Amino acid sequence: MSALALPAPDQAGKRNAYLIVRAINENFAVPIIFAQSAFRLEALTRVPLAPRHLVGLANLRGRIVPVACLARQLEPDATARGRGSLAIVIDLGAETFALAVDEIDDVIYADNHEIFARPDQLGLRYADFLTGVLQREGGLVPILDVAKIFEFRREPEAA
Amino acid sequence: MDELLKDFLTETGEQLESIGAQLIRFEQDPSDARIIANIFRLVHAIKGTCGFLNLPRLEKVAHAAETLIDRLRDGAAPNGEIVTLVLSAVDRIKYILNVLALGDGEPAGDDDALIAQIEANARNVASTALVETSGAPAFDAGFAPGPTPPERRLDTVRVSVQTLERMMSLVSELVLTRNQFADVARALDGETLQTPLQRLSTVTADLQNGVLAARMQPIERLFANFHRLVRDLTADLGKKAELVLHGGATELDRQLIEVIRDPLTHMIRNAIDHGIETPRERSALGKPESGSIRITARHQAGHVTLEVADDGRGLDIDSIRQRALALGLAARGDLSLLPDSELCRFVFAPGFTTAERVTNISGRGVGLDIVRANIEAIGGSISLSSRAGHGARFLLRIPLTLAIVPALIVEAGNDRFALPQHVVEEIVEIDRHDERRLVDLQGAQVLRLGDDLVPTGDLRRLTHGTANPAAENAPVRLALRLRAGSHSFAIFVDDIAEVQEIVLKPLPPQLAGLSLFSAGTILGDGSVVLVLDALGLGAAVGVPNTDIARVNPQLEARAPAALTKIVLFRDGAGCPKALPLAVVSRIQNITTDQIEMADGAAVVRIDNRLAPLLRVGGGVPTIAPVRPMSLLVVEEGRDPIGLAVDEILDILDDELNLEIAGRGDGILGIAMIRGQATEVLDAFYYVDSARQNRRLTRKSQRGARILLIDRSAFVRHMLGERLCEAGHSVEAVASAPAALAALALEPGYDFALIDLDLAGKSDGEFARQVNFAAPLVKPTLIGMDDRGGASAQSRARNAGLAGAVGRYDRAGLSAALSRTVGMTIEGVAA
Repeated sequence: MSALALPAPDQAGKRNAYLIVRAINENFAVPIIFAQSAFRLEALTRVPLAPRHLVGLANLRGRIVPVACLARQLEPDATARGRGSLAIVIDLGAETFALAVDEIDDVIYADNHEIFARPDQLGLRYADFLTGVLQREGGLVPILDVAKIFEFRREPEAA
Repeated sequence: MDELLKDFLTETGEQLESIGAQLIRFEQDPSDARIIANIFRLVHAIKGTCGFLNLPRLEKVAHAAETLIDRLRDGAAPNGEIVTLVLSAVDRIKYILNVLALGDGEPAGDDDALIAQIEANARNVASTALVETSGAPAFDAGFAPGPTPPERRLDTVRVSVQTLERMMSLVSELVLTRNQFADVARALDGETLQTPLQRLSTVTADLQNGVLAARMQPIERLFANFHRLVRDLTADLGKKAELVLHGGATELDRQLIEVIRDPLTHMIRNAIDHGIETPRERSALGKPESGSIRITARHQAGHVTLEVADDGRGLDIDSIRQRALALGLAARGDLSLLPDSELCRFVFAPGFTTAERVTNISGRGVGLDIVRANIEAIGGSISLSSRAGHGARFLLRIPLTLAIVPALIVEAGNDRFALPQHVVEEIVEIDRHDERRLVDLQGAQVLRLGDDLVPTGDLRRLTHGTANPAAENAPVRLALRLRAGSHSFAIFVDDIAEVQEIVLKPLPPQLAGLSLFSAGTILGDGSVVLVLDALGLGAAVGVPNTDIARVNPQLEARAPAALTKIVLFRDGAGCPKALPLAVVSRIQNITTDQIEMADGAAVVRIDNRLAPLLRVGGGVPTIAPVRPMSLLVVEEGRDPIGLAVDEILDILDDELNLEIAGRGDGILGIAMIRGQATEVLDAFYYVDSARQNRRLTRKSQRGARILLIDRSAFVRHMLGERLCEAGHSVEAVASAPAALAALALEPGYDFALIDLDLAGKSDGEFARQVNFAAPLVKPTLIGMDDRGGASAQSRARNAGLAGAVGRYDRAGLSAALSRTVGMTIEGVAA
């Protein structure tokens, strides 16, 4: 499992740094303050009876971390979807997990006025999993609520 | 919390642990001024820091204690009173520190009484000292610190356990990387790499040992508290005993030190309360007045053994025998045959105590069973030996560390799981077609292992939720017999890959809800593997949900041969079926042409009355061709019903021990009868289904309010339902404390039906507590066990209950309820 270096957050602190990731053919922004590192997903250990978006456990330098798949969490019904090949290690303080995505595209910085904080008003598809929307030259990028992504929202699959 | 305060709390906590032991050593040897100087310095340091951290209450207590200790330092003779006062002050300091640790500042309240007492004593001591030393100042005005002893420089660093855990994982990772590196080196002609690789290996191994050693702590840390314990207990009981400790330098995992703290404390209490005689008794016996309690720790073959021995009177084998008999642990005949060493083992049974009176120290009979369960839960064992007049000896064997356990790596489908070796009792190969060993009951698989019937599951099904016909149809399969608490069950696995030592790593908190797994581990090849949890697996397989501290299997196996008369019969295909004879009023032979059909139901004539006729599993018997059948007449109230069966096999006395609970539908559970798995039917299910229409009209006018107390969820459900159906209102709880809470909160229960095992923990205790909890409207207390009968009645009387009934004895229950309430509650029976 090779670690990829992540850019350090903007020192100035006025601007917010985001990782732009791709999953289900869309772009999403992950606040970089939660991202510790990233690694290529190799062997994963399946967890029986776990929620579907929990795709397995990875060995992260001797630590066992659960891997949540962004695509499966956003679209629980999508069948036979790959789990993504890259994972970003997300540190939420009390818990750590890895977020599996298809690609990591870019790191961008945004000023406060470029962030729209009420995604629920936009009628977006994944509004439950978003904390806001980022305005970028290319268009709008939804900002992920990383804690929500990992939440076990649904009942574990029946035995 | 403030970092400074946090540091202060941890440091002071540790220092306080040692102070108790030091004081007692000082009391024994007052000439050792070094010790008193240590104690003084500690209290002084606490006082000093208090001012700094603004903790006025703590400061006052510390100051008072310091003054008193200072008198000792000046040469006053320490007497029992002074030592007790200092210890009380230390206790108060500990209490305040504990509250502080919660983060809410100092507790409210003051310590004026204690301080006044200490000060009065300090003054007294001072004046005595004045007389003795003639001329020394009565007491210092203010505090003069005197020469400060030279500071001992500590060459230790405080490291958090998390840091150590992290180092452990990193070292494991380093080992893996080294292995991969070695593979690569071998592939490319590794000549040049050999030497550095070799060095890397050595360093890695050393590092691994070093990190493991860092988790170890000398057991002395635990011993330190025991001096205080012995001193307090002997003072309370008017006995004398000396604590002798050996092997304090023996190291074991710090986690384990915490785990064995309570068990050891318990054994010391037992030794002083039950073992050591009073000084007068001892001298009459020609023993030294002061008894001795010897604790020895040593490393032995990868384990630590701990021995707790006293030189007291030893165990009273006769009262153990009587108590075992009273608790129904063994039959009288068996008891007389058992050697003393075997009898000793009964003291680990729940509710066992031979103490004639219950003291606040021990004898409540809750304890040794829990001690045993705790020790076994960490993969250790405990045994007890005794010689009358010479003392008793506990022997504990515990693993060195909890972090590394030997485990089986098992395969199920494409998954691998680890199973700690200490839960695996047996590995057996089962021929799939061997119907004597593999029994299909109610759609569940049950395995016969030796004399036991154990519920069985397939690991692949449990973890995939799907079956794999190819693997399940393999002619021979591997089954592992596992232990969950006091129960045994089996799981089929596809294969056992290997046995290796694994490092247990906690699962991410998000996965804590998955009861099948207790931990994770990383194997040599770097893959993550989940560690199976025996209790969770057992629950998934259908093992009754029991408290881990229940009777251990050996005792259960030997448990009472309380015999029940059973009617054994055959009906249709499948295994034999049984009913307790008590519910069958008569058995008669009929031929099918005696059965008449009326109103869509089968009826038969019994005593010139028409009675509904039912079949096991429902349905209506075919009348033609005419053939003989047997009719089991179940009579409840005035109206009998008939249960038609193919053939009566036997009527016999046997233990009716439900090993697997039924799933409703007329089956109470499965028992082993004459070596065969047998379905035990619920007669009342049939009575009910025959009387469905009549039940409403028979309901009592006013139901009773009943509190149902039983550990088994199955029983709570089954009985609760029945009693509700009969028109009572029922509240069901799982433990005696919960029952007491219910009684106190909501008075007005007419009855409390309590599992005798819960009421019988100590004689009369539950009844007394009920009196206390519900003094005005005391419910009638009725005990329950599986069988009812005379032994239950006598246990119930011993426990201060009004009577006892069998859980499955509905008529008895109804009688008990109506008799005691003095009114007709016919509905109970219907």
